[in-house]
Amino acid sequence: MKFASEMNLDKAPLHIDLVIEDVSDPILQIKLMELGFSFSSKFQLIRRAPFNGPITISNHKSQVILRKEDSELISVSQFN
Amino acid sequence: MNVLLVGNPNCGKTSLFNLLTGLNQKVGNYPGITVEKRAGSFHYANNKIEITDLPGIYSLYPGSEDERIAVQSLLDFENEKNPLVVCLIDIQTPHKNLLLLSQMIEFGLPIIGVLNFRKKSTKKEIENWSEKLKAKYKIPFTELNANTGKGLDKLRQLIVGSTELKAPISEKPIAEVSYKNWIEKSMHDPNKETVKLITKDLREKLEDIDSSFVNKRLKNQTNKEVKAGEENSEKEANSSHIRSAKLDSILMHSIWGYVIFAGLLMLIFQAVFSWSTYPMDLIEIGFDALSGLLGSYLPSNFFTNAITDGIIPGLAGVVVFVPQIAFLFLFIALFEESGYMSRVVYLMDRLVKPFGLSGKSVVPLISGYACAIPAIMSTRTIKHPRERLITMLVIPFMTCSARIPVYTTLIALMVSADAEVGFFNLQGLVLFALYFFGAFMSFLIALISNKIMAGKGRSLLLMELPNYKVPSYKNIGYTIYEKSKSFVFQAGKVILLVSLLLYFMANLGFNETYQKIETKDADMFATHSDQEIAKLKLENSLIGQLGKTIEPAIKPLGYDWKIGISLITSFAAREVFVGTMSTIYALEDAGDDTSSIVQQMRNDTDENGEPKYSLAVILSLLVFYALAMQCLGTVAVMVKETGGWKWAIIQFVVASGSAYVLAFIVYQAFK
Repeated sequence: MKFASEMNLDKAPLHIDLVIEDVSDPILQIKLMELGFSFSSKFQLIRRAPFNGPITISNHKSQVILRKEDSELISVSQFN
Repeated sequence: MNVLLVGNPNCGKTSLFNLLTGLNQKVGNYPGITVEKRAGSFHYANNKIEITDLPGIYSLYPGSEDERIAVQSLLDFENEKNPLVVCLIDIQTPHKNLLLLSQMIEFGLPIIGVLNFRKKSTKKEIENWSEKLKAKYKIPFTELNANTGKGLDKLRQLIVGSTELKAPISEKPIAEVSYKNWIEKSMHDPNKETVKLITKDLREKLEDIDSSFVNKRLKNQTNKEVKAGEENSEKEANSSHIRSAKLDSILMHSIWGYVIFAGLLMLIFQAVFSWSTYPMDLIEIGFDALSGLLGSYLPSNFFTNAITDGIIPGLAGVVVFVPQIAFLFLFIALFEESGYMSRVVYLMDRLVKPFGLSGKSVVPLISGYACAIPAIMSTRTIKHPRERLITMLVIPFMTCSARIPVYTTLIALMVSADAEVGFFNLQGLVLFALYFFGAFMSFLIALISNKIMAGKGRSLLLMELPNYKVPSYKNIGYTIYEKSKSFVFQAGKVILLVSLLLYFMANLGFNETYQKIETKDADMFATHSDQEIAKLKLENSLIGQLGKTIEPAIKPLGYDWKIGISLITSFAAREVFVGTMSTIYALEDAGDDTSSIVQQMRNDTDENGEPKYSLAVILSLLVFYALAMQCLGTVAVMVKETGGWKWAIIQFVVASGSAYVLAFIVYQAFK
């Protein structure tokens, strides 16, 4: 599955290489960067918990969980 | 010399601290195991080195309480004599550790970098990273394996030889404002405005680190051997990542994840109740034999009786529960060590959020099954103040290990040991129901607290899932040993004092009946059997009179003066209940009855010949002990963690008040 433009992380399809375009919350931005998810690095959305629970994102070395409402603040695009 | 040990969560800091100091602090595979700083020291080449292990942090931005502790320690550390920072870098995730290292260098304290390599790390890989780090950061570096201790001596030499080490000079400050200034400001910035000051600079810094250590390294490197080493490192990281991903597809599955988690909880309860009966029986036999042995060898006098009828029954009532506590901590340690605990956060976050809790509350709540004190301290990893406070308020409702002695004694009074329902032991199922009741009350109180405290402010859950690893049997064994020891010694001290106090108060009395017994009144002894005399003596002693004084307040709950005494003594620590009952029954039966405390309580009758421990009384007691705030340690830690008495008092009043009211309702409904 491919998508053309930017979208919020919570809407992104699973197992597609993504890259962060923007994070509208500065603290979330810092915490993501601390965990190795910076603007230039690619990652994938790999899992969604049931009942709109947390999502799991992964780059090649680590996995991070974050809430769906926080993932709505992250704008992503497909990694080319 | 003073050394501060810093690094990312889960990078091996505590293992290194234990290696250096010879202490045995808890380590785990779950971010946030170290929630407070720990101090130790070691001697090397005639130098005494004080060392402090800080909570793991990813950067110097203080977002949660444990990060605040780490950052504040750094700010305070400047004033120390000969300060030195040892920054640990995990070879498995070096790119993630470098942000903190570069910030530490800019902070301006003398610093040593330590590359923590693993058993599988190749020599080339270690050398390559070490050279790169030395070239980039221009600070002393060394390599060691924090699990095996390989390379430890070199680090010790480096620490001792660094007394003249100067702070590194930062080439490029991270923010427009002075970096240290920014950290100081951000520590006192409730609106988080200071975050915006550095976001852009931090992003540039990270991209710089990323490009110099990942991209450039792979693109420009020509040395084949070095490249091969790096590829091995990537492969190793990937293979462990892939193994974890496969396991996660089951353990974090939308359905199977919850089924497995529920199954594991059931397994814990069955282990605590069924598997532990064999060592418990052995302990009981051992204490009985000890009591008999001392009774027959020591001269028969007041002190011998104080030991055989006071101290030994009291201590036996506690030590006998060590196997159950050991099984509970075995499972908690396995969850933490393996990395499964973080998956529990993922599974449970959405379910606990409506109650004002976070997925991160689940681990402290589960830890509350072991002991509320460390569980309350571990809430420091919860960033949102309201979520943290609610978690702290409800943790004592979870069934801590101190309740196990009380529950198992009371359950054994009403359910036969061999009663079964299907595959399950009925006693185990009742225990499970009590654990469920405790959890239910926790969530009910959380829901009410959340409604009362509802306010603004978004909470953030952002948590790394560590790769699964085979638990270290040494760490697990040590955790079990340490927790069992602390249970016995902490409870044991109180129980020893209480047992002795009870014994003396039971052998002192000033009313007429007591004096008649003491003076061996002929009429009294002619009309009463020896057992009746012993009962009368206890009832008219100081302890009996104390129990009788509070009897009117507890009679509506179905309790008599003996239970009243146990309620008073167990307000210090609830497990004292069983020790107190053991001592009272041993005194009452004048040492003639050698049956277990359960049997003695079961045989106890009221003036109408009816069993004193009817179903209504037992259920009422179970409800009371499930809810009442009977732990001075928990009150003390609440005062410390909330920064005052207000919430500790509210917690005490709500818990003990609801215990009284519900125990009353249960007794009146079932009597």
